[in-house]
Amino acid sequence: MSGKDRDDALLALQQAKFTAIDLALFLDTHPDCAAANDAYRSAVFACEEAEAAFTDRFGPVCQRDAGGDRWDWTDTPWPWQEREA
Amino acid sequence: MNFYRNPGAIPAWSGQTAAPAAAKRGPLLAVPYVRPQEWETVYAPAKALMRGTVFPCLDLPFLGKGGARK
Amino acid sequence: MWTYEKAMEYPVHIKNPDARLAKAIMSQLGGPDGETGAAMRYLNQRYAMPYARGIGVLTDIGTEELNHMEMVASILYQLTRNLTVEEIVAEGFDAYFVDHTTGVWPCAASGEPFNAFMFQSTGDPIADLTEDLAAEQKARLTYDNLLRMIDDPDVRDPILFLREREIVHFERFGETLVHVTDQLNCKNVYAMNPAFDSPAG
Repeated sequence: MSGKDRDDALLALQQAKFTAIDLALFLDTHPDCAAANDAYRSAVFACEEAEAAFTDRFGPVCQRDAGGDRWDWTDTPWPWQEREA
Repeated sequence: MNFYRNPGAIPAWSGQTAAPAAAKRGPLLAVPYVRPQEWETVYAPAKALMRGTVFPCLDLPFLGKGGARK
Repeated sequence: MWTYEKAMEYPVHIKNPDARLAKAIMSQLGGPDGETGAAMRYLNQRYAMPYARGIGVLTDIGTEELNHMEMVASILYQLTRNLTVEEIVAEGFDAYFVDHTTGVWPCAASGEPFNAFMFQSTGDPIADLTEDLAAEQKARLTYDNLLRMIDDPDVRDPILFLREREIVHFERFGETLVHVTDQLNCKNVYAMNPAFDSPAG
């Protein structure tokens, strides 16, 4: 697994999560917009997929996905650390 | 608390959306007004992250250059 | 309650340290118009907000500001890694270095520590939302000023993102204020504070 693979998977995750974040803010002030509600459900689905894809290969993003044989929550790089860390 | 004694009274908590007449009222005096945004086709996720929003209508980039021109 | 996700909201990967830039960006972490102030402002204002929609907006934008606080802290961390002491002194970072080495401590570029005077929570929804509109403009303009000063594309990139978020947040607070005033007596929205007063009569 190259550093670039991890970067690409993380970027896909960030894109999916950000789409959901921005849509949720719009929905906070437009709760009855059907199109936005639909778009949000799709965005959440995309997040779940991207998160599973990242977690499988590179470790947990959410704490509920950590652990197993050992507690790996602190094994993997933290967001401000360089790729190679 | 009974807010219905006075029709001009304001409920202390309301989860309701505004009555349609109120929403169409538009800007009031002495209150800041920002026009509510309407839904539009959103950017794809890759572009959205790069631009900082999913909404093209709110994508308002900085085009300034620094300082005095010589 | 809050949970933490181990991913930056927007990538921060700065290859070239620059303590002089770190000094300029410091205010966006711990200054009056910075991300920590924004998070504390919105997350504290939400308790007295009488309208559910307002609570939602304050909670969700306040939470996003914590993401931005992490981004700015990460920018500062990456800009001050692998510096020699000579570089730290030459780039004017020595005063901060004495007390904090290259640790991250929220303060303004002036050195003023982050403190609660940098934000308000007035308990009045119109005042709070108006303050929030102003806060987003002030943050936006400081990012404009940073973009005028910064050439390094690694640093410009997350700054461009943060700047755009301020514009979107401004729109949402504006929409929330329209909603709040729609709940009030249109003949006089200042007749009372719906967070505190009982109606007259």
